[in-house]
Amino acid sequence: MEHDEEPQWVPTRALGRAVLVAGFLLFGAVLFGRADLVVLAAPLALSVAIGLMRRPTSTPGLRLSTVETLPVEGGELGATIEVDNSDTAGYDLAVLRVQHSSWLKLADGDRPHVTSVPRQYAAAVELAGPAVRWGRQTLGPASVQAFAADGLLASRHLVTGALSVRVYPMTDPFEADDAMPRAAGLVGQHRSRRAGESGELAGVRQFAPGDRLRRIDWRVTLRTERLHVAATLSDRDAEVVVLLDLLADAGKSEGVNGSASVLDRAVRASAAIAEHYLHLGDRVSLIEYGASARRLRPASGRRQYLTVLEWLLDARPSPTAQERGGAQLAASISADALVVVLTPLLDGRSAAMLAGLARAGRFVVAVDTLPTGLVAPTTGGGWTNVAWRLWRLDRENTIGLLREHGVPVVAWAGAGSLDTVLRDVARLASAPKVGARA
Amino acid sequence: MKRVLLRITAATVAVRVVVFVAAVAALWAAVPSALASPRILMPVLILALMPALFPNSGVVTGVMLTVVCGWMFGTLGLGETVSVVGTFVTAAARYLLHSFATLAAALPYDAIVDTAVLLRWAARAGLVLAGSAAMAAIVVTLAQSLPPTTSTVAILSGFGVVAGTVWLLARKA
Repeated sequence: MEHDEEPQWVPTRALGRAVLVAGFLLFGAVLFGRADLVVLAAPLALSVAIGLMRRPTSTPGLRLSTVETLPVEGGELGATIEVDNSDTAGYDLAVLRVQHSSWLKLADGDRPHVTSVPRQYAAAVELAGPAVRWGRQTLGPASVQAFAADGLLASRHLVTGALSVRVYPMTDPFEADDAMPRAAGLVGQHRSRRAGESGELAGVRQFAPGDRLRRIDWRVTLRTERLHVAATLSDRDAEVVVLLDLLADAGKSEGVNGSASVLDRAVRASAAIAEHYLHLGDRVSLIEYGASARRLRPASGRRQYLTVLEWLLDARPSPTAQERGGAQLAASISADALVVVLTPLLDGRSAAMLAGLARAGRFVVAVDTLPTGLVAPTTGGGWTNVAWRLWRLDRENTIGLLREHGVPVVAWAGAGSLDTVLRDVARLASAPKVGARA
Repeated sequence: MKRVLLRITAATVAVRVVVFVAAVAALWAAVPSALASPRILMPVLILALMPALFPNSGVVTGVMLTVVCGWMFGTLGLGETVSVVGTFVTAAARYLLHSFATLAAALPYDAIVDTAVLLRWAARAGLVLAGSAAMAAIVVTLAQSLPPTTSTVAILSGFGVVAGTVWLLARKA
């Protein structure tokens, strides 16, 4: 039986109204034999007749698409809603709506759009605007309701699925000119503190068996009448582990042009650090310090950079009651790796984790991602300011303690943020260790 | 309310203004001349405002039936003379009220409306009115004269329009 099939086009209130008033007038015309009542009924009756003669039967088609070219925060994004009329009757109008993430600032994207759709035609509404925050933003669902037969018939609401739009974090400008603490691989671009083959001059020394002839410094050799060679430092690659502390979030996220939350700063800084070191040919891996404890394996190259960006899109604050300590984390981190920990130091366990990593002999740099413009909450009575100041003092004390334990803590400030601390870490790495094996 | 005022668009306002003007014209034309006075203008304006504000409600039907009842009261009850032009103007105003109230009901107040939608709608309304004018001319010519005489043509044309409408409604898609 086909009784279960719902009709796709339903009469509007206007159809009932037109039939009622026209019927009332025509009934009066017949009852009283009045031609003027027929004249009064004529437009309504005619509009119903014309409208219903060209009524559509099939449902409109609806498509939602996006022009996605790997947009970065602040970049333009385009979306198209297309309504398709394959019927032999045109639609007088189609009301299109689309829902989307508040971080997609599509021009007039929060308003319904009304367009006419002639028969055998597809009408499109294009929306464009910037995506102002990184993440997997939702575009859709879109819906359409079409009206035909002079507005006497309306289609049922048709709804599409939602699309996920990837918006990659904008990388803060970042440069770190200083040497890595302990470069590990055979090739790379870091000037290491060990002798080797590169263009970086370490000094001139007497020739020794095994030295290459092209390394002979002829000027010094002629002057001293003994063979001398130019010694150079080796270029090494290194492993950088970016550890994101996601135990807590703070601050207000206002997108690419506004204030940034802890998570925003951590993600953008991670992208910048990864881009910088991957560009130099190093291996970069990422670890989440939070409930989900995700990990991205170390790798190098352009492909790894894209993987890092993709991985960062799923970063969420994930508080957990039980989190691994520094020693546990250190077990999964290479001893030669530089560990950059992006942390707001809001949770006591973060400081303990940093100390644990340092105790385990890892080269740790803590980057403070707490936004600088944080102010005390305005509610909560007279003690709020006192509590706020106490908390700030406690946090500064923790940072001081970490520094005393050999964990440099530096506030994230983009370019050159890590130069000073990297120099300190490199110096520590080259110094002999107490109790180290010979 | 503030949000509505901030978001409402010019196109939807224009459509509701047409609804209001058409309602005023239809109501004023239906008021018997014996009752027409500046005092009745205010109730007419208030009544005409209702379809513009609530186009997707029964108010529109109520206003249209008020127009019809006012017309019938004037002509049948008070025995006012009927002119062809006056009858058609009332019919046209009432149809425009119905048509643009239908459009206003379909348009969300904050919609961005393609101008072609409004132009095509207005063109279709004009077409219907032109057809109605032709139909009215035929009916009037055939009937020789308008009321108060009982007209066979009115009865026949009334039956014809009712039968045609019922057939269209019953027609399978």
